[in-house]
Amino acid sequence: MDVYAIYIREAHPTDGWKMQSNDRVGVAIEQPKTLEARNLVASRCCEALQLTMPLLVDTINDQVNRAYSGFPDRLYLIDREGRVIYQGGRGPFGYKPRELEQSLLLFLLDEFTAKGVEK
Amino acid sequence: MSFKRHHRNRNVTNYRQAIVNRCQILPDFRARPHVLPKTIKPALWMLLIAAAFPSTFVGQEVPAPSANDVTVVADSNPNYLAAMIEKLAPENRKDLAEKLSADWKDRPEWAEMLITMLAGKEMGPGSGWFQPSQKKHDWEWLAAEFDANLDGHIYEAELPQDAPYAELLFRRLDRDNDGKLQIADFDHFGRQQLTPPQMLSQLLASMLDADSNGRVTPEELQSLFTRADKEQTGFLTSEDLYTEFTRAFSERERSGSGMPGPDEMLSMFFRGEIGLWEAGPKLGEEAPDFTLPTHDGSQTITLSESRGKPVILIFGSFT
Repeated sequence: MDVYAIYIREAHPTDGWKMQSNDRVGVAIEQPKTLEARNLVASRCCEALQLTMPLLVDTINDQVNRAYSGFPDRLYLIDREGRVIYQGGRGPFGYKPRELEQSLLLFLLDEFTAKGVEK
Repeated sequence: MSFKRHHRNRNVTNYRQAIVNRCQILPDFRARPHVLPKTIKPALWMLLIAAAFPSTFVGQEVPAPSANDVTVVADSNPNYLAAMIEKLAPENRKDLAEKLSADWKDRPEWAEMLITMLAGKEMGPGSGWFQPSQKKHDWEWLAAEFDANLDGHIYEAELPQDAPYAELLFRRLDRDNDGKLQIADFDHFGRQQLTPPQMLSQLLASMLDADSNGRVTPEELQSLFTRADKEQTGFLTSEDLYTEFTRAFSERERSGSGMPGPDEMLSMFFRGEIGLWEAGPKLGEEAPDFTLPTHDGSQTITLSESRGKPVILIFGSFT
């Protein structure tokens, strides 16, 4: 299985929809305007959240984000043939990692029982 | 025909025909909203609103649109519609929300969101475009496969014992740990009451995780202890905790939630700062391919190279 985290445009930059909850923990970030700036914020994000996997950085014109409607956050599960089998609801309210986990477990269970039927 | 003359003799409730007469794009748009360029949307909405509320625009600074304005406005200023809606009184916004809601079936989710905002409804799970996930494998699928006696419950013994991740499968599916699977275990969006353990753990985690990175460290635990043990007795009583939690809560309340007002929310909506107008790939559709570099420049990943494996995509940002 492959897991990719895609770093997209900031949801609560200082020059957009500012959030007090970010101020409280000393995170003040301006919306990156260049790919270099976006890479820097992605690095900082990795460090602060102690992420162990690298982030894929979206193009500065948000191509991948737009293709998936990934903003502000969202989860997808894609099957072996490249089809969407889980599209999480729009974040923040629809961001449910536990639901994604269930979908993955059930997907594997589905494959397992389907194989049984073929035999 | 000038805009004002056009509206003088017109029945306001018959606004839809008026728009269709004025703008040949509309029927096409309604039939196939996804094929039109994104920039056309503000102009369309402007026409809708202008036609629904002609009186609102008489004598206003914002000029009433003519058919020719469609392309001009669409190309020049996407914030135009936001400015126009801001000129509508709250009751007119509500009225518009009702008209659109009643008259526009099969609307895209961005329209649902706009209607919710025009109606002045609160944003939250289930409102506007904040809808539940789409999933191939839901409770209905599981029950059809494994709930042989159709009693609405699936016990561990009913699942194949040699399934992949069998030892963790049941435990992770059974979210409320009550020893059986049922529809509630798969409803992640419902507004069901949090159980006391859920409530306690969520609150505690948010109290303890001082840097808000999703991980409570021994130091953060110690820091709460030190703060709460004001008299340095070396132990905590429930009274100490109560005092500390009261202080922490009132501090949060003082700094506010930072929710902008309805006008600001609408402008943010039009600027795409609440979410994108695009809906993303639907269930069963092919996931759009992409090639992206990692932030450290160490690799470049192409989605389609993962064919043959399931793939999880996590979209997000720092803030």
